[in-house]
Amino acid sequence: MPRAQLGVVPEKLEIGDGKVFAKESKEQSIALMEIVRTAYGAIHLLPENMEPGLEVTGYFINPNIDYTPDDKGRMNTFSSYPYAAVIAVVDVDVETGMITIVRYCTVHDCGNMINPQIVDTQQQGSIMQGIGAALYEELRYGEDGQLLSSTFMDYRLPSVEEVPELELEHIITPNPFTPLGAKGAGETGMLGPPPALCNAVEDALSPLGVKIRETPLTPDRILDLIEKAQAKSAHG
Amino acid sequence: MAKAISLTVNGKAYSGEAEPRTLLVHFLRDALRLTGTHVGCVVGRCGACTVLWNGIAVKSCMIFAVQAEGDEIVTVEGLAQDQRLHPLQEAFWKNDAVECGYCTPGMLMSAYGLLSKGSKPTDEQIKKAISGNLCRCTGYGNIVAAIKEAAANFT
Repeated sequence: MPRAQLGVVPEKLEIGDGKVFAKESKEQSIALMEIVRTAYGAIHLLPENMEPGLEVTGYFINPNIDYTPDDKGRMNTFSSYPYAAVIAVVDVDVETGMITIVRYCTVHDCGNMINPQIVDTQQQGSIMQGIGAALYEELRYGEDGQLLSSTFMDYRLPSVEEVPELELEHIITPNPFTPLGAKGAGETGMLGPPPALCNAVEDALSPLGVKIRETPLTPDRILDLIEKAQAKSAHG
Repeated sequence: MAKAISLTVNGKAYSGEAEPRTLLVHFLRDALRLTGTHVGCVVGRCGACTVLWNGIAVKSCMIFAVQAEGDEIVTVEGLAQDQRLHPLQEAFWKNDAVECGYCTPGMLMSAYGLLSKGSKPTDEQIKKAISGNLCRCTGYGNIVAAIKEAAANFT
């Protein structure tokens, strides 16, 4: 539009101070408000064949994403892979089946952290989702396929009382494939608790010969596993 | 059969009509257009509907509107005064205690109910006060920190 009204090519135009002006002669200008009004209101004043409205769609094509499968059928569908190392320490009460998380430590790499406070909050939330999956949450069905855990009364989302003390550390390996060097930050947290807690509980119960193969690790399940393992060892 | 009811909400007198089966949360949201109070589960577990009823934090999905006839209700809209955030809201903001915001009104009201009792709560007391409020996003750590910080400035 400015090209049509000012007779100047876009490359020689600049935006600033609420105007679009010619770089080489600043008095050649149109107010941005004027452009907006024309684009949305006085569309009869638009140059022929120009669409009303001011809209731009931009694309960023990540250089290392490729959906073409290689000869083994593999593709790289993400620019980078955030990751974490997790260690959990647990106490298992063999009489009640209750599990207490004594320590939960994680070192996490999500590339450059644009807002470290948000990354920490994301980690806390995402780890609690993983702890919920590992210890508390279950969709239980009856014999006839009826969903039995259909409200939060039975589907146990962790409350504040289930939050253990978290030790969170970060390392930063910037992503070389994006302008900001960041990777995803919200999902890694939740991947940690199921394997970390299952391994820790299996380690705790290894003297009893218990193997963990299913989550959530509810008290009744733990007691069942202990009972079965003891019955098995009793029968040689 | 609708009944006429009158109650005070955030210091203002309101009258309206409610069927005996209308939940307080729906009356606040639909009749009074105070949509800050959220409906999360309707079975009294998630706490997103928490309001103060005569000074006590309660789940408004577990109360019929007609039960609140003549009573005082405080909703999350009643926290900020004179266009300024309440210290609790400031603390939530500063401690990054809000993500999607769905549990937030309930958390604020449970905290407000606790802090209105006067004394500085321990961490255990804070956790107990919000144990009925579920949050899926934040992992609760920042919420507890925010309430602790607000307790220092609470009036």
